[in-house]
Amino acid sequence: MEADKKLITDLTPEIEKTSIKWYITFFIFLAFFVVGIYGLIQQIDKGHIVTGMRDNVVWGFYIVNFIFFMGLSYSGALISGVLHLFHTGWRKPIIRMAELITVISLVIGPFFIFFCIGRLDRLHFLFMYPRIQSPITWDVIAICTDLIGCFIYLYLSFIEDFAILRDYKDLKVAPWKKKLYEILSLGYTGTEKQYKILSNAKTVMAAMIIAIAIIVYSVLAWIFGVTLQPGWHSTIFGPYFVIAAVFSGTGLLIILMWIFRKVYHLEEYITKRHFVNVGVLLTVIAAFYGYFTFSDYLTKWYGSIKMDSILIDKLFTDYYSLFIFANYVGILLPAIIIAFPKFRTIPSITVAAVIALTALWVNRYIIVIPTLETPFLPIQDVRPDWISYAPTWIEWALTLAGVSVFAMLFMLVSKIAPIISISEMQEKDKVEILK
Amino acid sequence: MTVMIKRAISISAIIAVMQIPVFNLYAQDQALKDAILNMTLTEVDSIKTVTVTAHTVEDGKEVPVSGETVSIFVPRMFSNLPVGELVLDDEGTASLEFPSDIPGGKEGNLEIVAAITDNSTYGNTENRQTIHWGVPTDYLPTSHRALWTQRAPRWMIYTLSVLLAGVWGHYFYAIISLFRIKRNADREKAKAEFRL
Amino acid sequence: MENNESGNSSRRKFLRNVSMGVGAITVAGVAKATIADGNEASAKSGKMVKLLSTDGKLVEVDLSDIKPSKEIEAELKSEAKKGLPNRKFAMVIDLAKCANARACVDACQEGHLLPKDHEWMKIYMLQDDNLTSKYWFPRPCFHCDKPMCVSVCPVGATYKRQDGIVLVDNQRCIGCKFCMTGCPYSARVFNWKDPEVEVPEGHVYDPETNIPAVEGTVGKCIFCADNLRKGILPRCVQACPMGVLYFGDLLEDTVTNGIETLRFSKLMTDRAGYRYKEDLGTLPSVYYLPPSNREFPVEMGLEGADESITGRYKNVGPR
Repeated sequence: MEADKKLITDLTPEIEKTSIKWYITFFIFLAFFVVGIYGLIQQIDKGHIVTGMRDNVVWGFYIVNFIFFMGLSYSGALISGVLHLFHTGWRKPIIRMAELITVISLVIGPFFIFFCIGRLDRLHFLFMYPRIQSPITWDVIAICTDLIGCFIYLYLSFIEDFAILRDYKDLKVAPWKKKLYEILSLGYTGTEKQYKILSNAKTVMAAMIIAIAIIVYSVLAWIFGVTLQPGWHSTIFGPYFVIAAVFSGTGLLIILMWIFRKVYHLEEYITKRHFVNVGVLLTVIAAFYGYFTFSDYLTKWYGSIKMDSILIDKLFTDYYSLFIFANYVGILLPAIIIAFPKFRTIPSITVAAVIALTALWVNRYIIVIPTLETPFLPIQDVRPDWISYAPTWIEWALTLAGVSVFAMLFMLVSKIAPIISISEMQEKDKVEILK
Repeated sequence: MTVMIKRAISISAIIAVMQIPVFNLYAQDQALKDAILNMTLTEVDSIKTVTVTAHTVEDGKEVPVSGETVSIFVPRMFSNLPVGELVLDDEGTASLEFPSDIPGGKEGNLEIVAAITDNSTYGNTENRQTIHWGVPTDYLPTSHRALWTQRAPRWMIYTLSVLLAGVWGHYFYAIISLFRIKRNADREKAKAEFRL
Repeated sequence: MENNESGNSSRRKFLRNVSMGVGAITVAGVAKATIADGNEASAKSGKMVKLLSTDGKLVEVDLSDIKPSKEIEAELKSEAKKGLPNRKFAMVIDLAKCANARACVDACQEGHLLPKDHEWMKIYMLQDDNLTSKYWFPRPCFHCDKPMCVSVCPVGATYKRQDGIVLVDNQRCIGCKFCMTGCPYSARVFNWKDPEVEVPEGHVYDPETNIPAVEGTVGKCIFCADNLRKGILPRCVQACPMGVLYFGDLLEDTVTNGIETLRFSKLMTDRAGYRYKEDLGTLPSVYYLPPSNREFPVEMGLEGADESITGRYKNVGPR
């Protein structure tokens, strides 16, 4: 397949050569990963007692990270799914990144579940003896379906780029990479018929991805929502988690746009316009997210139900700073930065995204842990680690390891496929021809 | 010497006489009388009555046992459910009204026991009878489909199947598209090579 | 008519036989089952093993007649899943008599070989309101008729059987702890580390005793299902010195605490029995009798107890 020469020379250098900086960054992340693995071995050897989880707070950092990473996967569904169906033009440079975020975070998320499971050697029981009345079974089915769907969609979007790279004679890459492009491109040559098949398949999968992403995140929310625990037994949890997921995914997208733009010198392709557009998306979603959060806590606070009042009390005393950060700062600050044109610069929008992303992680934390610390029957114990949750170094290490694996996988993929979709950038012409 | 012998005889006589009450008590401890306990269960106008009579056989004659306590109970899984305590009158009989609301087995059968227990005179004796005086209690545990049973509610199974079929159906469409692209590409390649 | 003398001598014989080997006891139940099963025409190995049958007699069994433990385990599990027919077990707890003696906790831990920090029966001190009184609140598993824990288990490791008892299968549990978040009464405990339990030799796993506790799985009160199968009261009920815990079959309308036996319906009417947090709708099988006409003050329960116990109740107050 032919492609604009300039596009190729701008977007492929990372595939051709690897800089020292890349290696150093990669090995730093690898180091974090190794520390995390060491922690995991400790946990498997000594049992879960090495974490901060105890009989009341049975779900801690691992579940928070699981929800967080699964939430990140929504960005792909939104950007490439929704915007694909709306044929928005400006999104083209960021589609590939969004899809990669989706797939990579979907791969990492389930690992945090594995860390939380007491008997890893019996994991296959989930597939051998599933009970479909259990929300965890729904989650297993949904995540597997989502993973496969996202992989298919990602691959569909790679085909054209692989075809371009395969046909680009001056590509200076190792022979194994060339062979890889040849196999994976399925001999695609961009004929009308082939294009039509591919385009239809992509549209169908885009619709599926949107539907599946909503289902996956709702099911995840219902794991909490169907229990009787105060703070979790909320009817708003389904939509609330979906919105929070889109929020976090969009925030991460901005951050990655900034990183890759800086590192791979893509200033021409990812412009301020993209930052502003995704930033506006972030603000709109922040408004929805803030609305849902406010609605949830207002109804809890206003009513006199004892267990709700105890929980709200705990949030405003023990968890005060975290609560303010997650639900006020995390929503208002990004909204202010992006809403006023005066404040909109690429760095400021990125900072807003970082705040939003961190605030969302904290939001997951204050959804999961304070509820478990206020059960119906009060915790009556003398041991401090049984009364309140305090994460240990292993849980921190594994969280960092998860982030590191995310970064490493991203870096590895950028070595095989261009981080901006070359074919998408060219697509404008094809669409006009077919019309 | 005769004085000593006389004293010895009188002392041993006194000692021998002294033993008699002890012997008597001991004899009483050893020989518990066998009391025969009879229980009759009668129902008149749906009023259930338990009548007990107790007697011992002495010299071939029936002697009623009076003043002793007889407990009436229904044996249950871990212990005995007391129904009442009767004191036998001078004729050795007593009766009480049996409640009509005690649950029985599936057919409403109850085992009723009248017993004299740990009695100093008569030891232990009892009379057991089974009668259709209980409320029939048939317990069928939930075999319906619920969230907590082995079989899930039907609507859950249907919804899940429809959703999965729908989504995976689309996945198959996409995968088949991949094969179609490959086939088309191979055909195009063959055509191009043929032309050459 | 049982005379004390003959009772003593048969008991002595039994104790003598028990000393022959602890491990034999568990296999003995099996031997009884396999022998009672009828004579299978299998080749006799000729190797004889001395076993103790459950009624105290010493029997000699050919080794080939003993089934492999995997088969026994599967049989025990399927029996445990079915439960006892025509029974509906319930417990009544008399809050007026509880003095935090903790004999129930100790008996339970002993009977199920639990580590000391695992309390299947837990004693709380509750106070509903500033103006109402404090009271001791023993809480076993409630064996709910609509158990949330069973609904959320993804692998079916916990189940409710026909006699109302909810059991946990230690060998199916994957340790996801969803049941622990599902239970609103905090009735379940988790094995965060190796419980280091000394298991008698030859012991075959039976969900009705749930021995041994397994690292990474969930445990909870099981109403001593193994005792119930033998017609004996649960260990906590037997141990309570104040007669607080009553247990029985609701279909028989009878509960007993080992000392007195009462009709359940009458107890409920006379003493205004209720269930804890009835409006959660889980339909527990444990009923409480309100702490009225108390026989002694609440503070008596704190006397002479260890700091690790009394320290728990320092901040008791209305929530």
